[in-house]
Amino acid sequence: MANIAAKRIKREFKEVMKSEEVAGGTIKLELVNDSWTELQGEIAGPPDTPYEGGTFLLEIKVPETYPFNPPKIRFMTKIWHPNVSSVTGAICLDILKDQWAAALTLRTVLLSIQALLSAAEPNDPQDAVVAKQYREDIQLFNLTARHWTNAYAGGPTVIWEFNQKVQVLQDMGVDEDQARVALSTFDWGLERATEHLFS
Amino acid sequence: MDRDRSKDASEGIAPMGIQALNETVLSNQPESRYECPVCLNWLRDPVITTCGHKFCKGCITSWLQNSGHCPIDNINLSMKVDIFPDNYTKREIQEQRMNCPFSTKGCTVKVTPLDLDAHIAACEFNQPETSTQPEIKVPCSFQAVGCKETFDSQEEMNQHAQTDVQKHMSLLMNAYSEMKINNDMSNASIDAKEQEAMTLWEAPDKDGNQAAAAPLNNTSALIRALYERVVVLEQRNREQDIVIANMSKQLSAFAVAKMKQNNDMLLRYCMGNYVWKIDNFKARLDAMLRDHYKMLYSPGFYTSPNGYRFCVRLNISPQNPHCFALHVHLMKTENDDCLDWPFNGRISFSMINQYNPELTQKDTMMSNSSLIAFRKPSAEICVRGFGYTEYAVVSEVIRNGFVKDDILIVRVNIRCV
Repeated sequence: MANIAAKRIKREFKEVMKSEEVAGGTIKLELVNDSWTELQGEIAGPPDTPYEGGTFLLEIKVPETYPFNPPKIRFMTKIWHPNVSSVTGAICLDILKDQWAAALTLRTVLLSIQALLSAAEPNDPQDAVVAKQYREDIQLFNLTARHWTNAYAGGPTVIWEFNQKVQVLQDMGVDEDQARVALSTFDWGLERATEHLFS
Repeated sequence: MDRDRSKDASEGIAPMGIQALNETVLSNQPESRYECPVCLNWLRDPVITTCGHKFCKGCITSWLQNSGHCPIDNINLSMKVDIFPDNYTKREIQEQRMNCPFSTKGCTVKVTPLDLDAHIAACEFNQPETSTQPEIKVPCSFQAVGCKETFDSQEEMNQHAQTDVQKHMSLLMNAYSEMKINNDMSNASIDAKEQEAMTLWEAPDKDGNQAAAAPLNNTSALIRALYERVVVLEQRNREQDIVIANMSKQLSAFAVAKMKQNNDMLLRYCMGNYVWKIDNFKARLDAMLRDHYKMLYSPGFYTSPNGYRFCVRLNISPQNPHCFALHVHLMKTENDDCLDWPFNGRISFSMINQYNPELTQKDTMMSNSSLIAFRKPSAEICVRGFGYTEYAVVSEVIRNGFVKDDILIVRVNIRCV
């Protein structure tokens, strides 16, 4: 790894560690290997959002050319959000792409991602299905996102109706994640989700 | 600087890789006004932009190769017209003097921040801890199977033993399989020796003691092997015996079931033409003569597979103890609701003379729909029967050849009309 990248990550790591956010528990950063090329971030779901109470893990890969190119970040915890792929966890955030600036750091990026959770951008979606639901039925979107937060991120709100529908599909032999994606995609219509899965 | 505090913070949160955070590198942390926002290090050949931000010359040059904006405020920047050397800052940084981080070990060198990294790399006091003061290392207790980790204290070793269970298991597994392979190989060579012994066995061995000693040794191995084989075979034999016993039990149970099924089939498909063979007749008759309430009932048979079901009753007539009474009784079936009631039909009895067919006693009667005996049965067997209270004289039946081989045969034919 280029000297500048490694050195910078070390300094950034230290910066994050002594930051208020780490002290307050809203973000975390851990090393995955000793070569400083891979890290694991953790952000708390912001209050007053469907993600509240959840803990979301992020995979952070630092390129050789860092900080001249942005780090590659994706959600490892599954999340229902218009700007995050519900399948791959890929994030659509300008500062991770063309709006990256060398003065941004892992700390500021993690905070930006956290901010993205409170303020989705449905007109620049990563996941078209989620974005459609967000635009057309925000209440159902909020419930779905809350359910996903409960199922994957340890969120506190259990939505029995959704859990039961997932269970119905699981009893038919469908994988839990697939069942949840299908039901979320079809606005929790059990029949359409079933039809989709078995067609 | 708050070096100690931040060190505590990082150690408290990131469990892994924190050893890699080289404190000597991080001790050299610039104040923000001397820090390059790109490399986060001391400004090296500082430049200032028209928007008022300072960078290392190398850092901003690399950045602007791919982007036309300031890394901080995104204002358009051109390498040619917007970047100026900041010699003031450069001088300020060069006037700074820092202690070598190994000053505690005796290094007295003071250098500029920019030269510090170069000095650290070359500093004679920058030696690995182990060479200056050799420590007593605790090896992992799984050293024997290949774990190379060593620890400063017993506690760390214990910690390691707890956390790396998976690794130790796989090391153990490897060691075990290696041992097993070696074992198998030495066993294989024993087998080879046995084979050799077998061939030697038949060969004459008159060559002397040495030649004799080898087969002797091999013979005991051979006997041991044969003994083991015998034990294995005996064990298998016993298992087979158990299997056979179980199977024959199953088979006889199956045969009984099959027979029963056959009988049931006969009763159901006799089409109202039932032959009742009463075996052991003498004994049964004696019992009936002793106790007039004792009666013989035949199994239930059907007039058609889904038709009426009847049984036959033979007993000593209550009015005349010298006579047999013979009746038929309707029995309940699962199809009773589908049948027409009362039953209407012809009922024939034949008591077969087994020595002289001409003496066979035949009687036929028609059902009487007014009788309870032909209504739909409410009990398993209808309490009222239909037939003859004085059908035949007991002594004549015995005397005139109706019983042969202690068997009396009564044929009943019931036909619906």
